[in-house]
This record gives sequence, C-alpha cells and structure tokens, in this order.
Amino acid sequence: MQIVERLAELPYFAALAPAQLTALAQHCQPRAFPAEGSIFLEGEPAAGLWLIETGRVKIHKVNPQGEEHILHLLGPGNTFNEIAALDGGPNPADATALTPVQLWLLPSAALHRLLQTDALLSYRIIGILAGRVRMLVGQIEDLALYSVTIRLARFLLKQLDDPALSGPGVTRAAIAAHLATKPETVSRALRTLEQAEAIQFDRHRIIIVRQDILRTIAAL
Amino acid sequence: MSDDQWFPIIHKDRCVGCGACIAQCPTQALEQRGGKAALVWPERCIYCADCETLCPHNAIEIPYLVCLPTSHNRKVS
Ligand code: SF4
Ligand code: SF4
Repeated sequence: MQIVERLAELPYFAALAPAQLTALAQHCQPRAFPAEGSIFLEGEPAAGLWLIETGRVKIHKVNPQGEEHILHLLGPGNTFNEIAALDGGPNPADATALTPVQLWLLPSAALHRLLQTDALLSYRIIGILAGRVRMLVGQIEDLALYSVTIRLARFLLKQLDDPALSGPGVTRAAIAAHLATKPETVSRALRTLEQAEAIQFDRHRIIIVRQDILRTIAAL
Repeated sequence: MSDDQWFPIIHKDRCVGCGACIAQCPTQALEQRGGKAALVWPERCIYCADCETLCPHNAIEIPYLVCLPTSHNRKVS
C-alpha cells in the first residue's frame, strides 16, 4: 500500500488535505526489522511516530520485579509511540518485532512542524490522545490479564509437549485453577492469544497455529 | 477420544435447574430433564461456550483439546 493511503487511513490525519498528506508522506522513512528484532528500547530518545506496513509488533514493559508485560500486540495499519513522538520525551516502553516487519517512521520534527501550522490537526490529535488516556485508566485493571496471557501461553505449550496432561480435555475452570486466576480471565487471555493469531478455535480444539508467536509471548 | 464425544459436561450435582443456559443456548441444544439442564440435542451444539460462561453455579464445563494444525487433520473414528 502507498504510504499516502496508509496515512490517510489514520484517524490522526483523516482531516488533512491531499497536499498535506503528500507533504507528510515525503518525510516517512521505510524501516525493516527481522523477527525478534528490537525496534526501540524504553528510555531511549523517541525517533518519531511508527506505522506498521506488514508484520506484527509487540509493545512491552519490564516491571521492577523483572517480569515483562505485553501492553499491545499490533499489526498492519497500527501506529505506535505517538506519545513520545509528540512530547519529545523518551520511549515509554520497548517495541520488538514478532515477525519480520516493514515499518514507516515519521520523524518527530516533521510531525511538530505540521502541528505548529495546522490548528485543526492539533485539535484532532488532542481528542484522540484524551481518548487514549481514558483507555489506559481502564487498562491498569488489565495488568493481571497480561500476566495470565503469558502464563496461559506457557501452559498451552506444555500441553503440546505432554498431550496426556490435557487427558480427556482441558476446561477453562481447570486452566484457571492451574494459573491461579478466574475462568473469565482465562477466556479473555485465550481471546488475546487468538487475536495475536497464535491460536485458533475449531469447535473443541484449541489449535496452536503459530508456535513461534506463542513461544515469544511465553518467554516474556 | 473421538470427535463426536466432545460436548459440554453438565454437573448434575451443581445444577439447580434455573434454566438460564437453556434460554440462552443459541441452538436450543439444551433442555430441562428431571429438574436439571441436559444436553438433549448434542448434534446441535456449536461449542460456543455460552452456557459455561453464564451458568451461575459453574455447573457446565466445556472440555478442549490443545493440538497442532497437523494433528487435527488426522481422522479419528
Ligand atoms: S444455568 Fe447452570 S444451574 Fe442453571 S440450568 Fe443451566 S446448568 Fe443448571
Ligand atoms: S456450547 Fe453453546 S451451543 Fe453448545 S450447549 Fe452450550 S450454549 Fe448451546
């Protein structure tokens, strides 16, 4: 897909005139990373706004206990690191490629120039960021979900190594008891893994379609 | 276990016969039998797990098989 079309699809830039989009697109730089390649690290100066052309990216954070939490699993058309790109601060989390990825980088300086000249665009971005803040407040409660998702990935991989473990079938309640959580959290963690395209449901089967993605999540 | 043996398990000891699962099952696979929920039409069950999720007494469990894409193509009789 053309970068201009990609930019036009982003809610941030939906209000831009075609000429402005073209100008913005000229500043976008293509970047490629192999699977498991580090795109950036927490605390480093932010390079700009990232846009995914192909592949999957995880945004993750290590807490003081050394445990890692996945904050977002992203795919084509998604953007990341907009906060740091806008406020000029350091990267708030790590970004790592889950698969080989092709990305676009819109450098902060180009973004800032545009914001200074376009009040409507600035207004729009403030609205989107305010929405994000609201969502993050809700997500704080979801930190438990991240850790359950990681433990669930490990649990599923263990089932593969030893099929007898799941014997006559494994239930959400059994998984929940094993992971010391509630069945509802297991359901949400299963959905997260499904959205990450690591597993698929086929009636009574939980098919591990991408062991590599599951292992990456499990290793966090 | 063959393919046609995978169904929701209803624990009669925990079921109080409130009928919530029966009302909500999208394929009407469940009915009341002897004051308890029963999977009367197993062939209708699409394994949506709604009944498991909504039962207030955790009386229904849906068993899953964790497998790889290749092993699920194998025909089991
Ligand atoms: S919802 Fe639970 S308790 Fe109520 S009838 Fe169904 S199985 Fe029984
Ligand atoms: S799993 Fe879904 S289709 Fe099957 S009995 Fe329960 S509610 Fe009905």
